[in-house]
Amino acid sequence: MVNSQILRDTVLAAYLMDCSSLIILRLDVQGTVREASSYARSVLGENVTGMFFTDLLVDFRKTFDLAQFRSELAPRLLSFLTPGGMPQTFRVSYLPCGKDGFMVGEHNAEEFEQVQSSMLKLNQEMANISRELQQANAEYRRINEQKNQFLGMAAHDLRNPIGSIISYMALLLEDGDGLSPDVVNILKDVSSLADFMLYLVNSLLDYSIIEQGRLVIEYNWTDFGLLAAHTVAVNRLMAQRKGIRLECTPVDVGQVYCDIHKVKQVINNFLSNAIKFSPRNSVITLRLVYDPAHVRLEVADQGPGIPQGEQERLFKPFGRTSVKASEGEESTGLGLAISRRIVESHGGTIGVESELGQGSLFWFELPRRKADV
Amino acid sequence: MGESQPDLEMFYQRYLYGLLDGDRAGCQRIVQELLDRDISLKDLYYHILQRALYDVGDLWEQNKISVAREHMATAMTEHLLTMVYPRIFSIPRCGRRAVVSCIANEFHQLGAKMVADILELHGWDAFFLGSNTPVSDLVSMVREKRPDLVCLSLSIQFNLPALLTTLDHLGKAFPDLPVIVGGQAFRWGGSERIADYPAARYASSIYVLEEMVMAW
Repeated sequence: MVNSQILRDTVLAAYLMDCSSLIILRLDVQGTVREASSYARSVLGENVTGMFFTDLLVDFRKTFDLAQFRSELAPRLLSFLTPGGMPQTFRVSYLPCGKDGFMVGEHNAEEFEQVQSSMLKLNQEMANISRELQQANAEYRRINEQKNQFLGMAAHDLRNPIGSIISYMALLLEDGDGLSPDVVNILKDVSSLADFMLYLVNSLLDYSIIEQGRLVIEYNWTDFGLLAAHTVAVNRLMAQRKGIRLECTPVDVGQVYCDIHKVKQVINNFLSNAIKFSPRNSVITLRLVYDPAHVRLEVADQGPGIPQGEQERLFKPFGRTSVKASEGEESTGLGLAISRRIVESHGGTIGVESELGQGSLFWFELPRRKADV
Repeated sequence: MGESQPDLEMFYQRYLYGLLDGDRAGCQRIVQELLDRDISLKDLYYHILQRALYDVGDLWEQNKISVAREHMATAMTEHLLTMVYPRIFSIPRCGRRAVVSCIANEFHQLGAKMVADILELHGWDAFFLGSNTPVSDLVSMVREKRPDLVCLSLSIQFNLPALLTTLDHLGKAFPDLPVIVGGQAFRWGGSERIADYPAARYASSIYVLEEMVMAW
């Protein structure tokens, strides 16, 4: 009977020490670990034997009293340091056994389950939110495409009637003998407004084409210096009306592989903006800088400058700033956004350097040869 | 995708082992590789994601893996599905709407979510309400979204009475609104009870559901 009980206890003890998921540590009177279960060694490290029990614990406030714990015999939650660095918490009981005693730590299965199900619930919620977000994004993309299509159609359909208004105005002003000076002035105002409307409609059309991903770059080898000089000449009349001097030193920068019309549109945009925002009798300078691989065009004005915090907005659609045109000239808010897309489609970069009261310098840089965009 | 079946099988075996190992990054790489090879989303859903979940479920039923591992596989699949969404949601819309939901006390939502995604693949706008949706929430969502179809998922058989109660409520509030029910719970019977509800139909598999949707 006694033998069979010893045998049973031995079998059970061997199972608990070798196979169970229990932290079992035999401590001597000083609190040194003399023996450790297989699971304890896997969690706390193979060299746990010989260490002081208190050194195994995460005890930030140094409140753990081994002697008191041994005397109270009440289970307690203790967090152990692990070689992986992640502390693990066990519900630990002390079982006295002669001079020595056993520390037995077990996982709290109920807590484990709760944490697991909370994590699963959180994961589900996160995945659902992610789904809704992507669904909403797709919807916004669709709406945006519809908006661009509408914009394109509206701009396209408006272009012809505005063109007719401009033609009729020109005819009236040409053959308008006998019209009073007041009427002529009104007709000139209407004509100028119609010009602006056409410009606005064309910008909207350009923008919608770009936004729909239909911007086509038609590459040709182009004399870049000549292109810049020609665009300056076109803008000179508008500058002269405000007494502004447009300076451009002719430079032979050689050939650049680009879309001549679209790059001209960008230079035009830089120059017309500079004229709009510059005070009367100031100077605008166009400069070309180049190296064997790139060409850079800069337009510097003596305008009011752009506040630092507003500069990023400039190249976004309708990204207006607090700076006003010097004589109330109108603008669409699309020119620089279109310019950015054109330059980037060439594999180039675009930017501005400006300080309040110090004028602005708009620049763009293109690779001489076609870049992989 | 010009992927032959043996290749797909090889991807599947790698994916399943990754799922059982908890190797989320590995599974993500496999799904990304398949997407890069332009696998059809149906193939990805049916032959990789869904098949793996069924196999994981079988392994759990045979006590070959723990429930924790089965949960981990489910959680990983939920995450991997998000990789497919940009493609699913960019498919042109057909103008039809569906509300897809689990009933109250049903916490297994992945099957229902896949149903919602299959509907999206066919151009439907599928509003997925998630797990454990109370009847009152379901009814108010149907009232708000005015869908052409409601899909309900049942994965635990003892929730069948709750499903029937839900069908009662929907039938009273929206007598003509078609409802499709399905889910793993019907593997042990109960589908015949659906015949008592004139607007409701039972879809025995995701393929059957897809046929119903295509015939809409």
